Amino acid sequence: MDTETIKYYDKSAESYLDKVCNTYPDSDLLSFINSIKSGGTVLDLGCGPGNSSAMMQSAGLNVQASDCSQKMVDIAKNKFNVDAIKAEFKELSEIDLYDGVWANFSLLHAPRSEMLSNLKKINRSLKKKGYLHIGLKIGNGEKRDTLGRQYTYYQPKELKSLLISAGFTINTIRLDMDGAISMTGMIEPFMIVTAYA
Amino acid sequence: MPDLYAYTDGACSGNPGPGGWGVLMIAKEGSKIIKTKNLSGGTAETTNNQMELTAAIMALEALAKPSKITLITDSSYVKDGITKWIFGWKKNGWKTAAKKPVKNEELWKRLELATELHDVSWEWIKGHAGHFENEQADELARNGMEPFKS
Repeated sequence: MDTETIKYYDKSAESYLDKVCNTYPDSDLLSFINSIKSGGTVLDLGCGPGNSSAMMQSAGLNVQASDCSQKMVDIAKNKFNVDAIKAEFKELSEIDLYDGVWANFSLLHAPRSEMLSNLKKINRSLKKKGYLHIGLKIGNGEKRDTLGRQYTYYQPKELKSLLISAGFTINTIRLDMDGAISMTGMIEPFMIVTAYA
Repeated sequence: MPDLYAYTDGACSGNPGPGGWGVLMIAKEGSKIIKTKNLSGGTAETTNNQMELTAAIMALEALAKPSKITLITDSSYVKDGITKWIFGWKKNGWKTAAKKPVKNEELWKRLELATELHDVSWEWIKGHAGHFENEQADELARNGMEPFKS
């Protein structure tokens, strides 16, 4: 993982919490929760401060979480009582464990060259027919934003073929080409894809 | 406050089969368009009615705060369902008048939940009849379906 990106998240973990923290799950998180059997085990991959994990826990899911930023992991553990560890995507070594993986705008911080292998590891960590939610920004290339975070952008077709190569069956794709206002103030298009292992 | 309009459409290749949904959102002040937003998506195995419902759900779920919005669909299934039939279904424990389970119950419930957060007026227009915005929603729905066509 890019050290400058991790440094940004370590430095801004507290204020990031205020920016992203919802009390109630949004429609994507609700769909994810509703797609997992009750009491199922899920992984919040790139959990940030852990507020999504907390909402999954309140919904009765058994949540494990990981993030590259130690500060984020600390907040997730201390504030939300989430079972979070500091780990990189490539360290994911679980096999056949999860009913669902929530990777919401996290995998875009890894280089493109690692994406297929990250997706294969996620696939391996999921049970058969396990459910993946992935959110990414739409675009081309890899670049650093004005806050210092390194991003890899994907086109929907590219993500689709990567997921298929990693063994997934695509369930739904949602494209928002006019995007949402990001933390840098830029309006960036994004996509939400769900798939089955 | 600008007036909000959402033109929604669904598409399906085969019924069931791969399908897509599209939403064209328009914010107007008077007759002047101040902002538009395109949303689309799809899934591998669905029906036309499910995609029509999904389009309406996505339009309402995309609103960041409680809003007054006019939702324009070419699906009388969606419009009549949410403005008339749903009251009977709920009274009958999600059974139709013929005592059969209501199809797409989960989507209807999600749509109802989304409508409760907003002040929604429903309009029906004839599809494929040259309405510019409806044609655009149709194109978005077809784009949403594209990745799922074999």
